[in-house]
Amino acid sequence: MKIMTDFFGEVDLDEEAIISFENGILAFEEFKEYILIDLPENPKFKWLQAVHNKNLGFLVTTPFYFFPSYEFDLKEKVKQDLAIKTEEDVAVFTIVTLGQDVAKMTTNLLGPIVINVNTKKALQIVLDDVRYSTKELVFRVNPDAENEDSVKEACK
Amino acid sequence: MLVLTRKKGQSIKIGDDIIITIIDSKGEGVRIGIDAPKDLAVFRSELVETVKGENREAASVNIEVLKSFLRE
Repeated sequence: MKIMTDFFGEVDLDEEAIISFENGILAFEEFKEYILIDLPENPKFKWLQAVHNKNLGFLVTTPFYFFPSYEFDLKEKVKQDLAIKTEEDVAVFTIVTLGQDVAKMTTNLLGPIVINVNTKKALQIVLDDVRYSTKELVFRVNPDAENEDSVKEACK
Repeated sequence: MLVLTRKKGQSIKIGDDIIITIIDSKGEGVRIGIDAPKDLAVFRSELVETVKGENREAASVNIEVLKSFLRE
C-alpha cells in the first residue's frame, strides 16, 4: 500500500506495520492509523506518520536513551486495551517538539505513546507525575548541547 | 452536576471503591485525597489540554528545520 507524506514523499508500507490508535493522538483524534518510519541517520528517533493525512506526523524518540530513569506504571486498563501480556509486548515512544533550534528540542514525557509491538495497538496516555513535563529538554544532560557537533553525535 | 458541601476531613464515596477526601483548604487551593483502584487513571484534567497543546505544537514542525535535523 502506497501513501503520500509531506516529509518522505511516497512511502510504500506493509499493511501489517500499521499501528492503530483507537483514540487517535490527543488533539488529532480523527486519525487512528499510523506507521513508524525509521530514520537511518538518526537511529534514536523515528517518524510517526499518519496513514490518512500526509501532513500529519510526529518526530518521536525512545525516551530511555535520553532519560534513563524515566518510568511509569502501566495501568491495568491500558494493558487490557492494548492486549499487553508481557513486558516484551511494550514499546514506549515520546513525541519530540522540534523548535527552530535543534539543540533545544524537547520531548513530551507527560504524554507517552505506548505500543503493543505484537498486536500493533497503541495509545497516548497522560501521566500525572510531577517529575515530568511536556517539554523536557532532550539534550539537558549534555553540557555541550550548544555545540552543534555534539548534538549531531548525540542523535546517533 | 452534583454539588456537595464538604468540610476538612470529610469525604465523598463514588461507587464501591472510590473515596475522595478533603484534606485541607487554603485560600483558593483545596488539597484532595483520592482512594481509587490502581488501574483507574486519575490525573488533573488540565493535563490533557497541556498534552493536546504540545501535540499540536509538535505536529506543526517546520519542514526546513526537520529536513536539516534529518540530514545530520
